[in-house]
Amino acid sequence: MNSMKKITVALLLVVTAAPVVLAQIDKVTVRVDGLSCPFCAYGLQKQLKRVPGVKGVKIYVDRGRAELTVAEGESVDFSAIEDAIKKGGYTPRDIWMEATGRIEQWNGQPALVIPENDVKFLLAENDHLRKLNDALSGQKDRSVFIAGKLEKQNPRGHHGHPYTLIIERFELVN
Amino acid sequence: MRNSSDVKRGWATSRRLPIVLGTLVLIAGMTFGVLVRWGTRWTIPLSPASGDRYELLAQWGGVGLPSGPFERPIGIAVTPGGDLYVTDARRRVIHLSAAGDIIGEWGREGDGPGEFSNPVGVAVAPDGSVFVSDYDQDRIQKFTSDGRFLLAFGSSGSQPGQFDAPAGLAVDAAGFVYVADFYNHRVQKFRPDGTFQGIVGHPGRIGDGALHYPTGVHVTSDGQLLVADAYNYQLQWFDREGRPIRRIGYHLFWLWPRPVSSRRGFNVPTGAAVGPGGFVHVADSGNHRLVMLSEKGEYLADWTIPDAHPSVYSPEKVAVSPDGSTVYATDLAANRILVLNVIRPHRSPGRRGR
Repeated sequence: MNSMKKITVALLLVVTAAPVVLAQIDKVTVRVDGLSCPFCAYGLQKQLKRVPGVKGVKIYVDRGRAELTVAEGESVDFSAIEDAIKKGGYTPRDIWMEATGRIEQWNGQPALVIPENDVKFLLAENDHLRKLNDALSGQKDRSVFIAGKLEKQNPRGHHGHPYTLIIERFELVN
Repeated sequence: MRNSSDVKRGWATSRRLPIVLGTLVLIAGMTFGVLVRWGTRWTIPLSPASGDRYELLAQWGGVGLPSGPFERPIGIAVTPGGDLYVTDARRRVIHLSAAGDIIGEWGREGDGPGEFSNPVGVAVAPDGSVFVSDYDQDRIQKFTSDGRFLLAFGSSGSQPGQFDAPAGLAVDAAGFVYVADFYNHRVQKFRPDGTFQGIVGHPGRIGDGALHYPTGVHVTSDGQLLVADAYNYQLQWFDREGRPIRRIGYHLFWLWPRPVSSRRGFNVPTGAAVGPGGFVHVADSGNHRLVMLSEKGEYLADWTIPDAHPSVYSPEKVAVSPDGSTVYATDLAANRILVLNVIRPHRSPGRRGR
């Protein structure tokens, strides 16, 4: 059995100076307004396919959603996703993601950390987080699958990290 | 020092002021309300021929197609013999008879010859060859009538000969190919061998020749180019030299194109085709309907998809049978082809009316 690697946590201090890099995640879903015209929707899909690390894009015109899957082992620049959406003529609204990682405390706040990358998402306080903490009691190295909504916060209020993850569901994984 | 007269005058003035202001605001509002209704609109004949209408004949779901039923069909073209070609999200071209029977299909995912990422436009040349636009790959492919690859042209970009989301296609009597270049806000013309010939239109919202996200093109029998200028909410005609001839749509203050419903104009017209006799059939996708116009652009009739998906613009494209009696429309939202009869009780759709 391999010994546990020490996870190096690098904080992204300045959002504007460095892109926010999503670690290994499974899926990002973005809600986009006005996605009614198929030609426009296909144009958005085309822009998103060009974002490095994106494996596939599905556009749900009837639901106003763009669903991106991330290539395994790849990371995705979240600001690039937002830029691609704007280039397609749309404004990104709500953003959800699904990822697997570990929960660690960072400056006294819980955060989702994905071992292969040096990015974390602060976790918002809610019932799901409390249940997750209970479930992880005594199993701090256990991996967790989390699906939730991302909210962009004031970078200064979060030590430079712009996104907070609001857990909507989770599952402990082996 | 103020006296009683001054006080009385001041009191009267302060009492009148809100009334005056309120009146001015009301007049301004009424004036604006009148002015915003000023603009172009379709011409509705004083005595429109009664009975002009569309009648739904059939809906084709593509059941029985080798690769599966239609999945978001979008491009459609009719051959001189009445056959149809349709493109859909299964990354294929489907060849159908006029009755909707499968003749053949080709295509698969990929970027090689005969492969597609997103085939959205299709057109048939006089020699029977078939051109297909790929929205994602920014290229046009040419095939024989039975799907054998002949050539490809185009690449990503904004230079002449490059595309950024090529959408609708048309081919004229000499075999020149016209491509609605969506994000480049223009139409490009190519020779039959795929070499660049010229550009029609320019990016813009106002004025003749200005295009804003054009999605469809059609060449009329007299060689004019009809462009579905989707996000200028209008149709535009250009002559053989690419000079703008006229436009139809609603323009606020005769200048600013605006989306409208009812019988004033269009809301994202994504396709148009002209039948024999010059009658124009428009896929008015944002209004979920087909619109029939006379050769002069007079409103004749419209037909709204009864079970249209409220959140998806459809139909996308329209094609006309050689005799003008039948119109085919791709209803992407419902994964089907709509087949409609063109009913003109007092005139034959295949001949000019008297």
